[in-house]
Amino acid sequence: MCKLIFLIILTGIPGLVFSQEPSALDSIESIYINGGLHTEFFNNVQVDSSGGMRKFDYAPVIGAGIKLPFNEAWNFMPEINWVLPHSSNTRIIKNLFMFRGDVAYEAFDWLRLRAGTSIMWLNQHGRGGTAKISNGESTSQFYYPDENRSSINNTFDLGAEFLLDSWAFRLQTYTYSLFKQESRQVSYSLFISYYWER
Amino acid sequence: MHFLMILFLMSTSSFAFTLNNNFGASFKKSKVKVLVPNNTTCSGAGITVYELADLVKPAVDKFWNKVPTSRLRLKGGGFSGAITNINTGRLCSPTDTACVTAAGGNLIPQVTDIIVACNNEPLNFGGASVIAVTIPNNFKGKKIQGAVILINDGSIFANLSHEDKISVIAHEIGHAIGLGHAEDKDKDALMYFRTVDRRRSLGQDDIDGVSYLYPKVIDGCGLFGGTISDGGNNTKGPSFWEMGLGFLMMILIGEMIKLLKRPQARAPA
Repeated sequence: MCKLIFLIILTGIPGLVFSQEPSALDSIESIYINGGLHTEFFNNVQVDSSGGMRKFDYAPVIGAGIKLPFNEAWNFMPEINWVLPHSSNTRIIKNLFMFRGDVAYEAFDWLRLRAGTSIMWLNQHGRGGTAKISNGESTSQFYYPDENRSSINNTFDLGAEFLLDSWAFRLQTYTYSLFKQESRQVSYSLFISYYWER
Repeated sequence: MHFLMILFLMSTSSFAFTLNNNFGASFKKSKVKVLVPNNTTCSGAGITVYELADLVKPAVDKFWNKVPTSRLRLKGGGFSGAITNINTGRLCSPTDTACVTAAGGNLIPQVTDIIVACNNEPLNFGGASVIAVTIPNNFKGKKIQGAVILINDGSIFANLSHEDKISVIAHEIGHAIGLGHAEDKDKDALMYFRTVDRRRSLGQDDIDGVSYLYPKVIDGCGLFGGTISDGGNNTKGPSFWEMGLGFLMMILIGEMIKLLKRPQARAPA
């Protein structure tokens, strides 16, 4: 139930923003593109045999969004991002798409604070096949997945964007399972964005 | 721009998870119990049945229940009723007719959920160096109904550290839910066949594997175009186009509210 309320509130925010304007599309103030790096599940993925956890990842992410002003200080900023698939893995193609919506506050000329939500669409496309893998004393045959499956998650997002003319640098965080402590995880992206004013 | 192009040429280390069967079997239900039968004895493994149950809970909570992109939620640490032959019987896959025939009346019966027990039948393990084996022994179509994890009572399990014992059980639970071993080059994964110096969490391929077998679909609202999950049957999730439609819904909500709030036109007096 709390998730339902959470979703209604967050999806209602853009509605309230748009409702102040004559038309959603007419009110687009700027369009921007993103490029950067994405780290999934900060400090919760083991990356070496001595217990080291992943704090930073080199997964490239690209995206684009628009800025819809509510007033001088507040904006609604929907965007779509794509974490590119790992090139080293040819058996399973993994894509992560983010369908995002932020309410942004222009704290200073150089700083924009964002709060919003994402629909994280994790798609894994298995190409099938088998592998002989060590099984202790001998080897056993294991199977690669051969279907296309998606996991859909909702996240609560916070971000800070540092502005310099048409460029911006942004730290964007995504919190999974906000209301379930046992599976709560935080991912983040570091973005460089370029804005085109209308 | 050159900086961005360099970033896109980078790649992280990720390999591929595997499955332990050729039809992607998984539990149908999202909530699966991991239980210890109350008649198992683990004297050779150096633990009591209560200590075994205490190992199961962190193996579940510290690893598999921490994945937010998986709908699978394991409940560990309880006891089941007595299971016939659990300490000395043969564990066979239901499709392995040779094993089932050879076991005869000594066959461990099919179970529901996941059962963790100790066993001293050498034929189950093929050697003292094998610490544990897991076989899903109850299927309904392509769905797992139950799996048995047997700890080799005659192995080095007793000599492992507390953390390694938890890791071993967590690894076997990975098999019970449908995962195979990680590739030989993927030593960071829990599903790698050897224990590592220190195991603190799942590796990326473990997370990908459980998210593939048990994909989660946001619950509570079809507003975004996603399928409302019943927490059980959805295995593939919504399509890309459904998700795109959901994103457009966010825009349309604003337009609808705008129309509702628009002042009504009045005829001149």
